[in-house]
Amino acid sequence: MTTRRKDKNHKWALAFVIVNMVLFTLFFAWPGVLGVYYSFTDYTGISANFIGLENYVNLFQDKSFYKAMGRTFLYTVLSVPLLYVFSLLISVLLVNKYTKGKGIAKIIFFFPWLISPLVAGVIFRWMFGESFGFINYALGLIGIDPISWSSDGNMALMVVLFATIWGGTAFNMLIMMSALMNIPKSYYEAADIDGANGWQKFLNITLPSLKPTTFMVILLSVIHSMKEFAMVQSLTNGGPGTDNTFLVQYIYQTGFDQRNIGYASAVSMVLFVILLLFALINMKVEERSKI
Amino acid sequence: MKKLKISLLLLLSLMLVVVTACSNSDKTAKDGKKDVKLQFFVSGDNVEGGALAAMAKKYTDETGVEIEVVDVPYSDMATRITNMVQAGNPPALARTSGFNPVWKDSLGDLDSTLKDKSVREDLAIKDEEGKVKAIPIDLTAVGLFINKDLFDKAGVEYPQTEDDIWTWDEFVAALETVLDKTDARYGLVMDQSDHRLSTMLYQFGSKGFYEENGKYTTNPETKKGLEYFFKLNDNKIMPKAVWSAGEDPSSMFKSGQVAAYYSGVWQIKDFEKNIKNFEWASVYMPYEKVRATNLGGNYIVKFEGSGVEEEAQKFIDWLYTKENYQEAASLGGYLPVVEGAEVDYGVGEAGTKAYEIYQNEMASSDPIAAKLKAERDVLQLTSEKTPGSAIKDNIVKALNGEQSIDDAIKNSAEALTKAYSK
Repeated sequence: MTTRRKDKNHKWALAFVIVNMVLFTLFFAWPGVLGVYYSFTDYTGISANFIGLENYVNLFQDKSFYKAMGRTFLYTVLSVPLLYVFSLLISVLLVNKYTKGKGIAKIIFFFPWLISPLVAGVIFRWMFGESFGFINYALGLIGIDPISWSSDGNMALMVVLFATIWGGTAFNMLIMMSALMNIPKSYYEAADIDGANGWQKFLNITLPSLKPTTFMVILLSVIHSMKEFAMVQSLTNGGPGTDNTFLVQYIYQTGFDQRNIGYASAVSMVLFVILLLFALINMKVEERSKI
Repeated sequence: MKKLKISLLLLLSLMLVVVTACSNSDKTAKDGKKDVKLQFFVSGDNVEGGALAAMAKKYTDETGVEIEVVDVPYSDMATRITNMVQAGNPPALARTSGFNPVWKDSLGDLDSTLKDKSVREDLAIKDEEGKVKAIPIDLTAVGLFINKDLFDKAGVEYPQTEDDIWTWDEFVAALETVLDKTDARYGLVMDQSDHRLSTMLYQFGSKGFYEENGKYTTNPETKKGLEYFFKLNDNKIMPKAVWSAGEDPSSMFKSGQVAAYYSGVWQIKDFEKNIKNFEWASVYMPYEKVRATNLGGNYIVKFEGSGVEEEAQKFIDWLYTKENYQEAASLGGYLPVVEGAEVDYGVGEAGTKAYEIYQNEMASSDPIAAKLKAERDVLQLTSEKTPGSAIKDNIVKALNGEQSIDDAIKNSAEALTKAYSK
């Protein structure tokens, strides 16, 4: 009798997940397999010839590829900690019982998340326009020389980082706020009795309790940063020159502008491996820290 | 019973997937005469593209055939249509300036329209078998605009007729004077585009990039022109951010703080309507060795496999009928491609003079521009590979200090060789 019931449940389970499985196979697994295949061909969108590892050999000698990869890493290394610190700061402030106007503050901080990254790019481009932008105009009013926000590579990266933090804080903030609210009050009460000050409580209670959330936030932020595209596309278009061309944009340019889809697929595979490695390392570290 | 339920559920979910996957292609299903709907992909701003949208509406009013005008940015057009062609679901028609070889077999023959409506044959694109795959809808040319108020205020002269055209040095000297005597921020802006820069290079005597012994190369004048261009990008005459970082030159010129704008005929209608705070004028472009402009323009193409080929052909024939074409050209500010078409642009004196200047620029331009344009347009449709915007990208890199001018020229030529050499 029990085995029968189990069987029946199996069928139902299958019936419920089959939609997902079909969609997953059709729209994720199959394109993924195609991508791997294309990376071994000279596919142009019309015809594909198998060329073995040639794409990969060329790729590892391609200066533009290393430049894009280096710049993507730099962007990730800078943006992830900044994003983390900012979202932590804001969420700690927003769950603090002494903060006033939380409701409005939440809406204001959450608002950028609702704006499409493309539009965010356009807004920042307009604000930081070099010749006729708002920021340079404001600087001019107080007697400061205009800053080369777009024709200086490092300045442009700063604007991109600024836009990233402006747009990305809200999501992390949301996750962290719920985590913060779930920390048992008794810990803090005990600390109060022991005479701990605010800073000590933050370091010894809040931060350690946030560990699982931190792992998730950092993993998501890294993946997101490594794949940054839409906002940069509309903000700097990878410029000046190719100074801020990130990997996904490089894939887009080689794949669509130059119609070199085989080569672009090879770059995608490299990005895939990097992200996979990072996710694995992150999971390992998380597992170890649990024990 | 249970089994039936489960299999029903399975079937339903599969159907859901199929329906979502194919929701785009349901238009061929309903074929009642009344329901015929032509998809017309158009790129261009609200003036150029808007003209065709207006004509489409007029056609619907006259015939009852519905035309859905889909506005697509220039840079997305080729990719969008390529994807649709590959999915076996092309639009009925498109106005486009770019092509993809994938379209080649899906493009309908427009020979009859070309002949019957006396459309300029030299501008049409034909395949290897001589089939007409695309006919021009408008012609564009590169040209120069100045902020007349700034020039007048500085008391600087500019050429009024073809007899006193300026050289590049004279032009730059004029810009410097304007910058000195007025509060203009910059002297000149130029669109970040191969097409505009090549025009300047032609004026310096460049023959562009051409194939020689199976490899693309260029003549030494190209480098001279480029060196001159780099010298101008000094944040005084030209703002560096336009070319190196892609800032918008058109809005800079419209702000009234830039003395001159190197762009093209397609701007006239827009300027006429949207520039209120100063007076602008079209003037003759400077030259160094020869006078040159660069031709451009858009094509009309028709796709086989859209399910409404006949209706599409009828619309095209209607559009190219002289009266209708004249109306479209006047609405969109097109330089005409139909023989004998007389276009009243309705743009007042400055505008009419501007169109005249463009006609003269085209008439006295070095033939290299027209020759290279025709070659590249055909290559877009026949060559499987594409150099993309290799020349522009390399110049931008050089301007940003990532490579030398020599390397920019070498890399551009290599990209062209890789894409086009057999």
